[in-house]
Amino acid sequence: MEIGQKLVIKKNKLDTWVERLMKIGDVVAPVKENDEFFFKPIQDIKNYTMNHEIPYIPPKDLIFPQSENLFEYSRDSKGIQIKPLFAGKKQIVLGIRSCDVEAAAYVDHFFRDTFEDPYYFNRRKNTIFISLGCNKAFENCFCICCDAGPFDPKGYDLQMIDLGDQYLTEIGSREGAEVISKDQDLFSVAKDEDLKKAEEIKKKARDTFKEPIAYMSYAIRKITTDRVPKEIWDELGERCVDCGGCTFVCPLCTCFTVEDIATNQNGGRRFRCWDSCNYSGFTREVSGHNPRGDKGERFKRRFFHKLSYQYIEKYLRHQCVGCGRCITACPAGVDMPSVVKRLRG
Amino acid sequence: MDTIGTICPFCGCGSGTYLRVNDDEVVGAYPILKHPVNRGKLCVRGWWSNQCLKSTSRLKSPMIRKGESLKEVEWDEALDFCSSKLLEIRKSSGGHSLGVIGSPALTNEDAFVLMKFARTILKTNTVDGSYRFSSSATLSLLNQSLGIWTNGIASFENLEKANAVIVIGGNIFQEFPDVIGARILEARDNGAKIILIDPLRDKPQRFVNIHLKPRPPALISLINAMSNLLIQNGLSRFEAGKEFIKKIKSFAIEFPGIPTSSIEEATKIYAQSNNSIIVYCSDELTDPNLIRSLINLAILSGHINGPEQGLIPISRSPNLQGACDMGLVPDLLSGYQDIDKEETKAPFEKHWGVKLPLDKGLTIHEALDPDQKVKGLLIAGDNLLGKLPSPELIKSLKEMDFIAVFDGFLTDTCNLAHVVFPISPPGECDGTFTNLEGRVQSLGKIGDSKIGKPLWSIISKLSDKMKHPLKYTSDQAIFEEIKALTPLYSQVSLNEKAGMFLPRRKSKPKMFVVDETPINEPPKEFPFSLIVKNTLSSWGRNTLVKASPILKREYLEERTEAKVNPSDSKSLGLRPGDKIKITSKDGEVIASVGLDNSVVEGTVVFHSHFVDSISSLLGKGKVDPQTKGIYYKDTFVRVGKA
Amino acid sequence: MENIYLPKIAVVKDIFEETYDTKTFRLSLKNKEEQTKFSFKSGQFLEVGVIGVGEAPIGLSSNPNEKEYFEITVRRVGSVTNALHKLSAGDEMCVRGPYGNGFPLNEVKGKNILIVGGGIGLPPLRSLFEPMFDARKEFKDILILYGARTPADLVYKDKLKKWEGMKDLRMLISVDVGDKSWKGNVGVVTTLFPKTKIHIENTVSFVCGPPIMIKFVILELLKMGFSEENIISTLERYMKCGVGKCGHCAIGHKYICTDGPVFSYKQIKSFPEKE
Repeated sequence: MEIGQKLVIKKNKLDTWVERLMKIGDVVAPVKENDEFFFKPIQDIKNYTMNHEIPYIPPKDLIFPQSENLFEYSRDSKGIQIKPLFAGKKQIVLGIRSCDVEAAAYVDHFFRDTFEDPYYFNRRKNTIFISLGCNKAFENCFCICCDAGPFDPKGYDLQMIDLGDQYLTEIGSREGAEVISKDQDLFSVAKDEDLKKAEEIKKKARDTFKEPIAYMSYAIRKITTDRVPKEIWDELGERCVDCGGCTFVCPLCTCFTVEDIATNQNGGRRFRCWDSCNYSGFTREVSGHNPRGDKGERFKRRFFHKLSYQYIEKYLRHQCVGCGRCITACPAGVDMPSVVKRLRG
Repeated sequence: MDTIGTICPFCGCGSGTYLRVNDDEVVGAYPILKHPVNRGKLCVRGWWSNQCLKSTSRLKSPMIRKGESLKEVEWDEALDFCSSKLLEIRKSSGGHSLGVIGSPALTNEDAFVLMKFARTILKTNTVDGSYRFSSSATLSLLNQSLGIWTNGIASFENLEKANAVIVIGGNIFQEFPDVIGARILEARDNGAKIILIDPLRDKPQRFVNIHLKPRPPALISLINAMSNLLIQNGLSRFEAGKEFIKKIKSFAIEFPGIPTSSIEEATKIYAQSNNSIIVYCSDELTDPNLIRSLINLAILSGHINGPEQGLIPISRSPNLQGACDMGLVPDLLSGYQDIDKEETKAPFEKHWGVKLPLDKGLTIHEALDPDQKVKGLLIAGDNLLGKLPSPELIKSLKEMDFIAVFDGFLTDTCNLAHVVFPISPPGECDGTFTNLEGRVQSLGKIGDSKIGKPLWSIISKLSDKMKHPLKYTSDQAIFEEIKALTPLYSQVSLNEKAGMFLPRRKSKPKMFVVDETPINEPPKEFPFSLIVKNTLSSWGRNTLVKASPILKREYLEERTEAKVNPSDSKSLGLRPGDKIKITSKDGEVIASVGLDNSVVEGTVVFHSHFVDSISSLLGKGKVDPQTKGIYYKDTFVRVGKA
Repeated sequence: MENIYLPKIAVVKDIFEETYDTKTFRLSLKNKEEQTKFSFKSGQFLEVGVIGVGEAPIGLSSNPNEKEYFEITVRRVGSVTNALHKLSAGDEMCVRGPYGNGFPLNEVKGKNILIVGGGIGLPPLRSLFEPMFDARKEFKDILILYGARTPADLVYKDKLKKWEGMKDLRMLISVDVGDKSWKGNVGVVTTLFPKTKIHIENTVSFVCGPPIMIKFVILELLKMGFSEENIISTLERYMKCGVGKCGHCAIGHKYICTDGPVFSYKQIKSFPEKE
């Protein structure tokens, strides 16, 4: 099994493969509950589905959870004792969409930059992504405007494409090859007609998107050269309600804050949780001075991080994959496509 | 990670959220994607108020006051102590010397059991809630004019389709952004007109069409002037009585600082649009005459005849509606059934097996009047000390003979108590909330509290000790009893996924004759308006804000007492660090002042938690006989350098 | 991989009271082996924490050549620094670091050095000029100008006399408001500029202090003819992790904790946000 190899697996054999995977680690697959989809470890082969919409909770949560404990501390006669808390078992994420995989590649790069984040990589090294390409776009998708889908994202371990009665499976990494190596009885080498069908599906998928939702390159140019009038940022910032929703649902946003909690007089723990640069307290200093106290300034700053060339240069892509979650999460209609549209005038 | 569906416990919108749990520890919250109330959105309080569940300010054990401080004790000792004190007071001074004060943060089940405990075991009708000082005006007046749960209360779905929205009272777009603000903005993007009546904002947001900024004592006159315009221009779609018309004619339409054309345009847009809704914060508009005027305006315009039109009174508390529905008011049983009438009293007496007490129940401010000789109070679910609006009431509470507090967190009220019981906060209890649309929704829980217990279970244990066991074992059993005794809730099924609406009836609206002198401009000797502002850190769920690290960082306590506009401060000769002297017809105060560009010229904003100063300026509160609430009228003041 | 979020335990060896709200803590890592391996560059900072309260970024103020201990000078401002001030000798605190890019000490060898410090801005500058004294011949003229609001607000009072008396160092001190016993210059630190010879050719200037003081000093330096690359200053922002991950201290596309806090004025000018 090598990187780049293309195989197929018949749909009726998929359950067998998943059962085998469940013996290696947690299989985190799409599960439908309460009329929406979640990525959860499955206990029963009947619980998961591969006909799912993009889950509202982004998969970054599996590696960078909403809140996680860093270490426990206690104070005794010998002084302060600190015990780091690491958690995370092997997890195989099945059915993750291309935009989310592309986002995960960026988040990996971010947490490795300058200093490596041990808590993130403790989970990441135990995680395998088996992505499922999107044969058709969903309600709010615009990944084609963001160079992030609907197929062939960066960083998949295995990519599956639904060909009708079977899945084309492409090996993208060493870990992917390893996972599949023991199950060669279920897979067969892809034939030319399979590959042709896959190419047709990829072409047809692009037509299922609505009219281009977001002209990203125009926005990138304007933001990089700081040529957006202040009036527009003020107008958008006025509508923004500082809820932080866009930051939490975005698979690429990674800001967090760190707090201590005392569980009793002599001990407690330090945890970190998601944070949003939209909040006014995000940059407020202890003296009370706040360099980004103005809502328009904070809004402008967030989009500078998302779309400016200075950041693209650092991380090799702009920070939006077109998943469309912010469109649902924003109460004020100032999500990514709306802002990009507004910047066009 | 587990996801547990529940309802956000912060404000009265009732947003659906998932609590996310990892190994028994709450990790965060996430909006429910397809919930009809919030549709996948949350505000910052919805995202982070769950952090309070791991806060160190949670009560760790029952406590009894021994000497100067509270000492941790076992449950039995606290229950024995509390029950014996209550029995002693009941025996020596009668049931009417006891009172029970609930809160709009309690679940329906907790509120019902509390009310039952008071009336059947403590033998008192002094049952009230901490909303007495703010939202009781709205509930009582809506009930009397439109009837409860009638077409006059708009639904959120209807707000999305509105053609005109009047937004008044409180900072709606910032305080309720995900449910109310989002829908108003959607309506706006679809062509609706937004009319903002806000004396606190100098410049309106860009998406507001018309902004009227009356000085607060003139606010009531403005609303009545708009009603006057409706009648004069023949835009009224309701036959108003002669007495009403005679009174309304006295409200003139000229207000200095507000162009008359704006008022005319706003009134016309409101009256002539197909679907017009008035949105206001019921905790903010406490003057009953203002509520009366708003209700009149809605009735006159005819926008309460169609289904679910009219008014949306939003509350900062999660179960204001439900707590009142459950009878946490002195003179009504659950479902607004009169306690004085035989036909409504009888089913309760039969089901409960006791005769209900005949003494007239007192409201909180009546119970805190030393002449009433109330000796013991049970305070459940809220920091009552933080809600009392005058130093006299605070002094009275501090001097009460016996106080038992039931709360999830250590608050200032706990420090006054003789016995404290820890209850389970939302997230660790079952039960139901009724949001301000009339949607009854079930809570979910991550597990039972390690220390606290649901309030109804503590009350049941107390009832055991008082030899009159209430015998409740679950929230479902309590809800069955609520359904049996309360016609309003009898059709509610808790198996519906997103809660179920209370049934709406068509209403026969009654208008109010507003006993108010028209004020259009400030008198010469008091040229400034005093605005008492509930800062975001002190409103509603202050306890939850202080217990969640991110919310605590976002909502800082205001340290200066007052704020004025920089141009006003310049003409007064004030510099940063100076103190100002504020004089009203009732008193005078010297306060620390800050400058704020967003404060309207000619107003001075005073932060609400500086109770002593405010009550010196506002004088004695007035009691409204119809709503039984106590309120403080807005006033004009004089400002100068101290 | 090293756990960047795990603090090391440091023991307070000594405490010096500098002013009514500022103390210098002399620290050494509890684990002796860690202390021998511990080293930092001038201008770097530590994330100093009181367990259970939180952490604050505080600049290292001692000479990096000193191996037995390291010092931090802390002003009491918020909850963490207030908790630090309650510690006594022998107590423990948590430190993470050193973080930050530090001053370009090696790059300025062979040049004239102008150091301008204001109030609490002197401590990080001390970690810059004390090692310069150790290798005095590698630098040409060194001039230190230090200003504080009042004589009581001067830090390192015991060391100032020593430095003023050093032969191959020029040091001038000024206070905004004098008192009965103050015999020196009265006025903001820029009033010292015309009172002494300031080299401009082949000179690098380092400026540290309250933001408003930095602004005025840099204006003066530019007027005098300093080029933007030769004016070096520090930027401050609210920090949490100190390792460029949490996002709080970001300005433009740089993180103050990893790309800074030391920046040249040319870089500061290019940032999209001015304070």
